[in-house]
Amino acid sequence: MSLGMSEAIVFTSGKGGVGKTTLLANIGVALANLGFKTVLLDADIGLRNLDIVLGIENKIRFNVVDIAHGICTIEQALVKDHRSGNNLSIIAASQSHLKEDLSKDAFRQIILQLKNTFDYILIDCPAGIEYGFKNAIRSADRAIVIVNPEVSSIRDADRVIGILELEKIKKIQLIVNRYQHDLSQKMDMISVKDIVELLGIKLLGVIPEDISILLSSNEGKPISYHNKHPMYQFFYDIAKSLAGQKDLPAQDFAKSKTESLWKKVKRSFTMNR
Amino acid sequence: MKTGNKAKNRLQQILEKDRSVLSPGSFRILKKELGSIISKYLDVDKRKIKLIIEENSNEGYHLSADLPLKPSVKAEEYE
Repeated sequence: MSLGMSEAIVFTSGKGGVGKTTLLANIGVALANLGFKTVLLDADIGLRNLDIVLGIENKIRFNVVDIAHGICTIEQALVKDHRSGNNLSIIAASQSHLKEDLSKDAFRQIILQLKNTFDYILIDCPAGIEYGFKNAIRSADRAIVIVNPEVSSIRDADRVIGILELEKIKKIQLIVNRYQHDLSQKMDMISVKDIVELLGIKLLGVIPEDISILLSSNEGKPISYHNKHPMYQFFYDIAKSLAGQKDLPAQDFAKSKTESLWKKVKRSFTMNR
Repeated sequence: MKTGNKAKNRLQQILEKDRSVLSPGSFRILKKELGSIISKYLDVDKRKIKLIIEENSNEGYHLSADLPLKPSVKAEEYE
């Protein structure tokens, strides 16, 4: 059973390729390891990826469209990631269906049922702002908008935030992904503070650009499972803020982290190359 | 000027333009919400509400609303 108030949180970005799925997987692992019953729901029908990032693609038998069509129960489609004890489950997307094969009502029903069991339901939303996106945000209580520090990603995020507000989603928070502290210091990257100011929503966290994210995806072993890795703390800080166990970071976050931490991340970046 | 600042300035202009456009979806919601606010006080015929945005020669754009009331409403009570 879940501990109390259950929340469905949609991870969305508008633009594709900003690292949304990997981020969701890592934050999901962190939440589970903090003791929250967590389920990751891949709503990107036709482009199934979440299970691969987590490295559990061989365990998938049923998917979310199968539940909607009555081919299996929710319990049958839930796949546990045993690296997080009993706390982390995922429901995969279908690779063979279209977005339209998952109806709004069926999706809403699935979320409602998951709320009986889980504290957090993290929904991996498809890129774009069409049907699949609308479907994924409609059942969400909260939204996390993921942005890369570049013009087109920020513009698309602004559009998405406008739609989320129209859908009356009250809590909309921002994660800046692939941030490069050294570039920003040389004023060759838009700063976190400027992004927060332009988009006008609260900052939940910042994740530095780091090659080890790619390496961990190659292997299907999220960084959130490596407690010695310099990136580890970034994901756990976000998970704690998300769960209300920690205050939101300073809105000019980049300055608030110590130089040594940025250097550590940078060093691991160079090492792994 | 460094490129980080250029990015910020460009975004300020782009977002300002983007945000000034009301999408068809938002327009529908505006119409619906306007209908429900008015109907709290007056018996308005929600299906016949008309909202029009027009350019008003020198003053920029102008929003006008036509909200037909149901026959049960007697005008003299509101003078």
